[in-house]
Amino acid sequence: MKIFVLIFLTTLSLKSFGYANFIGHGYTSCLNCHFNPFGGGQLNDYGRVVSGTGISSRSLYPDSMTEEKIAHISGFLFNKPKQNWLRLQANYRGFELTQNPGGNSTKSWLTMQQDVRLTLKFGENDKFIMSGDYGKTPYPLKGSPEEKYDTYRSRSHYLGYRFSPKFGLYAGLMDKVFGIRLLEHNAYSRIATQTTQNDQVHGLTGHFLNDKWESGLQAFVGNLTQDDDLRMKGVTGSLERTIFDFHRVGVSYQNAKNEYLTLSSYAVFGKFNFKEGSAILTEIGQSTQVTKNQSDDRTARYGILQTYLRPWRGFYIFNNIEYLKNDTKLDNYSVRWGPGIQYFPLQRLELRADLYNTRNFSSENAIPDSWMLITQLHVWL
Amino acid sequence: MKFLLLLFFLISCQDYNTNSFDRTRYGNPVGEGPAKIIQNKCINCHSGEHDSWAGLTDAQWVTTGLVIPGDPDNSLFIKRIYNTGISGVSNMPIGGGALPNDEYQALKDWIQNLP
Repeated sequence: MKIFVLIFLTTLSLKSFGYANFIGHGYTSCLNCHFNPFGGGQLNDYGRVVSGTGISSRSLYPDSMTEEKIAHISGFLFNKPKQNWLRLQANYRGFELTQNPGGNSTKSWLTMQQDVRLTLKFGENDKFIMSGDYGKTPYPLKGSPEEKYDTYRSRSHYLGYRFSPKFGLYAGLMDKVFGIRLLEHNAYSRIATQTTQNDQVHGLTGHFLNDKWESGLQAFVGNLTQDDDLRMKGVTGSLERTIFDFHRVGVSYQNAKNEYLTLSSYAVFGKFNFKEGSAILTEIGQSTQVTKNQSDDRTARYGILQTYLRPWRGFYIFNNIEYLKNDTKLDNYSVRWGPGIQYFPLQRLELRADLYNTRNFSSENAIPDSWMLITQLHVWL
Repeated sequence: MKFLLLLFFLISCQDYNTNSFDRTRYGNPVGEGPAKIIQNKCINCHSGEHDSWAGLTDAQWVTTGLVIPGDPDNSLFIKRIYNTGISGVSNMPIGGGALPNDEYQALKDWIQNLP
């Protein structure tokens, strides 16, 4: 085990972690740190070690706390795993939302995530996995009296088998494979393409990886907990290429439909590594929907640019700029921008603050800007 | 092992997602006049998670408290469209850009003429 940890520590400068912007640490694939090869979800042992010894600050530790010791307590409940087949994780993510900060502001606390995760893994190099989560999900602000839905649910549960390091197959409920998997579930890129925090689908997903290329191809039948007429069924795929050894560019395509809506989405994206944890993420795309009653047939276009700077270990400064033209037939469009900071004072603890300004542009009217401040707490075991 | 397998495939009842209200939004025939504007521009969000505006009658609209018959300028429904007198929050529809003038006026006229 010591040799295992030391190997990781000595190659830290080349390694990366969970969020898409962590390409800035040198890693181009999410498979290294996550059981889900497309990112998100439970961290594997390597991801846990790196989160403690590379992502998070060590300023609160005494000097006597070596990186090896930090690695040893990176397991569930600060324990080193005593077996190889079961891994657990628990998460809480909540934020305070302040609308119109500094003015006539309103505040509310929202729990975004509160779940437990479990993975069983077997075989050489964890060839076979069974992974899933269960927990509380954000409750819509006002529920319809006609609809009943659970606030406790599973957002992922799947079986995975790696035929080889280059190819794996996954079956079950997973996020759709499309574009950059941004943390911000209300990003225009995710809303326009219906890949928000609750849009997981049951399906079959193939993951392909070699030195230069990585791709995912997913065929899905919607979320099986929903009524059949509402389930979005279709295919989605993403293809990425590593360029100049450190950066990734890619394309994605999605086509899905239920009895009331047909959706087609395209995207081109890039993830660029500027070393030492700094990165730029960008995506532009288009989504066309056709509705059964023709009440909302339109094509939306979006763009997003995120820049990340890591001045020191555990601390990130970022800037987010988004564009949305919700209907290309109209001249209206929206721009949302804002800075943010992200701080990992310790492993398992993330503090984050985002400021958003949203401006709507219209040839007919002048609409006041809206402002939001989001301060987030994320704790995990 | 059986218990763990059951855990993995635990499926809750009726999960909520982006498509949960597609039946209401896109399955019903579209009305005329103000009803058509509300159907096209508002129901996408105001169906289930933020009130339920599909198929409301004029009398039901009045009971929501959002419209004041004969007084569109002081009706919250109209104020929120362009954030008239309300600063800092987003105009409606959120993320959809401003409502065209002719549709905005049509909604005002509808409230002006409510009994």
